[in-house]
Amino acid sequence: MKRPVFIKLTSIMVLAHCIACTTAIAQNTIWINTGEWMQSADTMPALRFNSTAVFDTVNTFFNAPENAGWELTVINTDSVAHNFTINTSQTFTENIPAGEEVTFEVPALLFGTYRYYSSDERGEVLGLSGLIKVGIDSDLQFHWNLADWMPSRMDSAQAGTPIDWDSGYIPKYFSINSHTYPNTANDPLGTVTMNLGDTCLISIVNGGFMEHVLHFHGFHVEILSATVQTSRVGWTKDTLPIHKGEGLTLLLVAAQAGVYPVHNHNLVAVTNAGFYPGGMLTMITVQP
Amino acid sequence: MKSINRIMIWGVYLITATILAKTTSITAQVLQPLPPIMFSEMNGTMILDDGMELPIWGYGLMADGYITLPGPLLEYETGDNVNLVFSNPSPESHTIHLHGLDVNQANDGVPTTSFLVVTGQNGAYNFTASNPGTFLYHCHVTTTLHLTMGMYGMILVRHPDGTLFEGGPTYHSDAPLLFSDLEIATNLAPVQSYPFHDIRPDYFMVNGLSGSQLDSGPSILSCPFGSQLALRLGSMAYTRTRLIFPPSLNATCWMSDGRPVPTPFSADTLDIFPGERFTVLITPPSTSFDGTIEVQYWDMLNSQHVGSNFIRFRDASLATPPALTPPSIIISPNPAHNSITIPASIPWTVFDLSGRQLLSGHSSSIDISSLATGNYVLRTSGGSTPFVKY
Repeated sequence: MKRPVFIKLTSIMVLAHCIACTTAIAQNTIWINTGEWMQSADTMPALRFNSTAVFDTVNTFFNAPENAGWELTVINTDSVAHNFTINTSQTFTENIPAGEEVTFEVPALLFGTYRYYSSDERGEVLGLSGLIKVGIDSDLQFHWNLADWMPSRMDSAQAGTPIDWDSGYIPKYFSINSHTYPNTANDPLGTVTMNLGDTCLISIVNGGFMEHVLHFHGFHVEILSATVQTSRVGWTKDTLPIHKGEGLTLLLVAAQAGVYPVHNHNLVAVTNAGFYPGGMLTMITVQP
Repeated sequence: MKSINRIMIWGVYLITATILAKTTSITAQVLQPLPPIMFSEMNGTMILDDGMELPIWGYGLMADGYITLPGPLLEYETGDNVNLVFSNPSPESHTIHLHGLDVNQANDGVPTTSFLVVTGQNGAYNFTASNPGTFLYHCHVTTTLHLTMGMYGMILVRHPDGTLFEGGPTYHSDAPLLFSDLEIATNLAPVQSYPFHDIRPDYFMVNGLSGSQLDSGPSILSCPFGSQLALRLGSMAYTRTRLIFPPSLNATCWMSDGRPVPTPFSADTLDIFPGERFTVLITPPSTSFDGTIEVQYWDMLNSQHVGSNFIRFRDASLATPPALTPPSIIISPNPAHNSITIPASIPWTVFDLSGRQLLSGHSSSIDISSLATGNYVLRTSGGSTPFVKY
């Protein structure tokens, strides 16, 4: 009797989070909000794409149809202009002036996972970066929006002073959906929970300033789509590089029960403010 | 189940058995071969390319009695049911994570979800080597620190019919190449290595060697013209490794992460991220070929080229014969009761078969009266030699 109950609870949980956090295409409106992001002893200025006018530390995501454009309105509540950018074979950019709202058509995309972001310096450094899932039709789908954070650069971006891009990049925090481990393990959008034998799809974007590489314990996954490493579609791997700005779609079959970590294998990125464990580390739980 | 490690261990015990057989008074002592046992220690030393001695933590085979960076190559065949016994006499807890083998949770080597092997305890990892290919192992305790200190190695699972995988190409021989790096300051003072997000590697290795260390003896790769060498490539680095092959080698990638790639591809330039593995076949273009493969190391934070190594590859007809293993030092008498003698006054260390360091010194006469009756290993720069205390 346990298995049907679990499926039902999982479905309710996924539905609840879709309502709370997904920007369904039917909604067609997102906000650029300002706020703060707190980690360890640091309180950092933050910008996010949200599905309401209320600041949320988690950027919203889209479930979009394949091969079809859609209309989107972006309301910029910040005092600085930003934009809505998608990098595919061609770059799509729509400018959003400060304090204004702009309605435009997002171009049709092929199946896969894409990063959308604001390409201006302040927007990128403070976290305006989300993901679009295109044609992903699965009852079990999760996503990981990867990012890395250097507080001194964020402070400069917030103050409007020049960022020292020439000095070495030493991020202090590494996040999945704006969470760092152990909070990543309680993220219903990203913490993979499934039953033995289930299949799920995992969408990943690298919204950070550096290359990342994720290692799966317990499983190999199949790459269904990639926006940079296109020649790797169809590969089955346990360790996956994600280039800057790249989107990946992975297929995971829950072939064995248990609890298994997934983490960045550049091991500086599994820390919070230098302490291990932390950062880009989450868990896959497969119920027997 | 073939395993060089096992063969080595059996060899040690055959030597011991032979010695014991000549000593009728102790023939009742332990003659049972032990299973291959890994151990960890935190008191090792490696010699850098410039001669500097650097502290390392790492794994070793209990029968050898010392650790190395990287740890010993573990070799299995597809389908092997493996019982990997691990002993930890070191001052801190460790594990063995079997990277890429998709073992179950109980054997995953993650402290919070599997089990820790605390100081003085043993553990065992049971798994089936289901897929052929290149895999890795490493400690998963405070991983950011324990890896840069050296606690990792490579696992090679061979397909039994001489192909890379079922239906895959045949090849002449394997060349395991494990790329890694470390930050010298961290190894010199690991206790002061916080913060871990700011580890910046400044020493770059291939199988634990660097620079001129790669230009001699067994580090030179070779393969007969007309056949293919299987490069088993893996990274335990903090940097991205980039291999640049001379195009004439026809480098072709057949596998990644223990699985065949759908379409083999030309790999004249190949990036290997931390934790990734690839199997690449290369062949000398002529019987006179003598060239190099460049290994570049790229900082993943700033995408900067921070180091290079060069691996020499020659046609087999030109290859220097592999350096002979240094002869084990002669111990006399062996077995012994109160003392043993070695031919010269050189640094030596005595380990028990749990890998625990018991004695050390420099003299040619070694007092073993404090040791309990049993089997031990004497390690010098010339290698390891077992002896028996009765």
